[in-house]
Amino acid sequence: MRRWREGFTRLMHLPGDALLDVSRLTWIGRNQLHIENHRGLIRFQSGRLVIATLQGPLEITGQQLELQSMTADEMFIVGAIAQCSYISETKESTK
Amino acid sequence: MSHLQLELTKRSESDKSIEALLTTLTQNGIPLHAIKPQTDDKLLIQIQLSDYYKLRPLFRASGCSWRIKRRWGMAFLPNRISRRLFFVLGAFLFLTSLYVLSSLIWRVEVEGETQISHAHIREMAEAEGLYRGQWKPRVASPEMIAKALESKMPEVAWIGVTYTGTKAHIHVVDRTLPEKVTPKQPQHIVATHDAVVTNISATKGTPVVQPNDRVVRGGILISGIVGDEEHVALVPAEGAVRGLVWYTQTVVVPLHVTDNRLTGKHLDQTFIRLFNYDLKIKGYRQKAFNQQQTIREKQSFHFMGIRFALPIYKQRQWQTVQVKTKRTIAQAREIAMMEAKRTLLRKLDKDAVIRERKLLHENSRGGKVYINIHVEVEQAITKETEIIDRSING
Repeated sequence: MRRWREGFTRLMHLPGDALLDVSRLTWIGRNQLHIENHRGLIRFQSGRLVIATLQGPLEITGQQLELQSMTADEMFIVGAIAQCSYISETKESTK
Repeated sequence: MSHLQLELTKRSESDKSIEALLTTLTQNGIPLHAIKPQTDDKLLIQIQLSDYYKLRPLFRASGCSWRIKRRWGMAFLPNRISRRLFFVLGAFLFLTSLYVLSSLIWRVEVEGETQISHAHIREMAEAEGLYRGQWKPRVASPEMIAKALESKMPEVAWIGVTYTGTKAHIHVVDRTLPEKVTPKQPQHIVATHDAVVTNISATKGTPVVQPNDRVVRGGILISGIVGDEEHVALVPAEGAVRGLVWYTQTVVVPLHVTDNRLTGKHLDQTFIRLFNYDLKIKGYRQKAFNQQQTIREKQSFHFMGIRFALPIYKQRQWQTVQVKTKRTIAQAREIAMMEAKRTLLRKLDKDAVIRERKLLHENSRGGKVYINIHVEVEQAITKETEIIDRSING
């Protein structure tokens, strides 16, 4: 089923988030990051934030990070964001 | 909307992480705000107050401890007020006292020129319930008070009562009573000039002269003594007496005169007055006259139907020439006659009529003619004098 949907999206040239459960990140300037379709928080320390997505853990680093709002499928992060990257699950679990 | 700020603490290593707890909260449909990590096991979140009771069982299940750090919103207002009771009380007291004090009458002012003393008017108003310190809603309407005051003071023509804020104005207008005529004292009508009587009509008293009689200044024309030898009374004599009075005027007429005469040629200029200086804005290419007479007038400046208050002046310079004229004796006489008439009429009453003008004497000396003119004027010659000697001798 999942493969079928992926094939359909590719065939119709649709953006990934339209049908698939992939997350969509909108990085606005340096200080705002909007995440849709997340799977919850994994870790939140000052300067480091790890979010669960379907594609794996997403790590956001920076200064004065704050989750301005959080609902079941949306997050809005503000602060001096330095980096935003997908990391391996093993790496996270060790911490 | 009321909000709470909570501080979440992870109690032991074995418990579920705070992050996992937050994820469960959102999955249960509770939106979270302003999530800030404090230390490794401490986190601040903001939630709506209405969600707090839904949260509590989930918190308990997770084993996290929580503490309310801050509260915002209307729901906590009574709480805050009770903490600042005296401040709130003071504010309330201030507003009520402001309201109460502004609904009192603080001043009663009496205005208008009036014979009645202001204190009396104020007393009257007080009797009607309008006085200092009175509560405004308790005062009758201004019309009612004005009416009541008017009925109390008949000598007043009109009373107006108005309120402006905490001030009451009583405007009083006096009735203008006609002047009392004092009965006249017994009097004679006497002559003001030496004259020849032309006309006499006595409305009260006994006329003692007839037309064509010569009278001297101060002589009685109409006597205030009436009656015959047996029944005598004193009355204020009244009546009109006209007579011919002679005047002598001396007029000096120069024989050589120089005067300025307008030629009819003129130049127009326009000025604008700025800071005490006249700036000519029109009329540069003109040659000034040797002799001129200037007439200046202010002009309002119109532009597109709007009048501007600009200090613009229009000036017209009329060319004049000096004209020397020589008069003959006959012309001088004529001028003298006119002059004599004019100066006399200016002095006399309006009903005076010039009957005759005669040239008495003329003397030409040093380019001037001195002319004496005799003028005969018919005019009123009456004057009232009180009868001082009341003893009637008959």
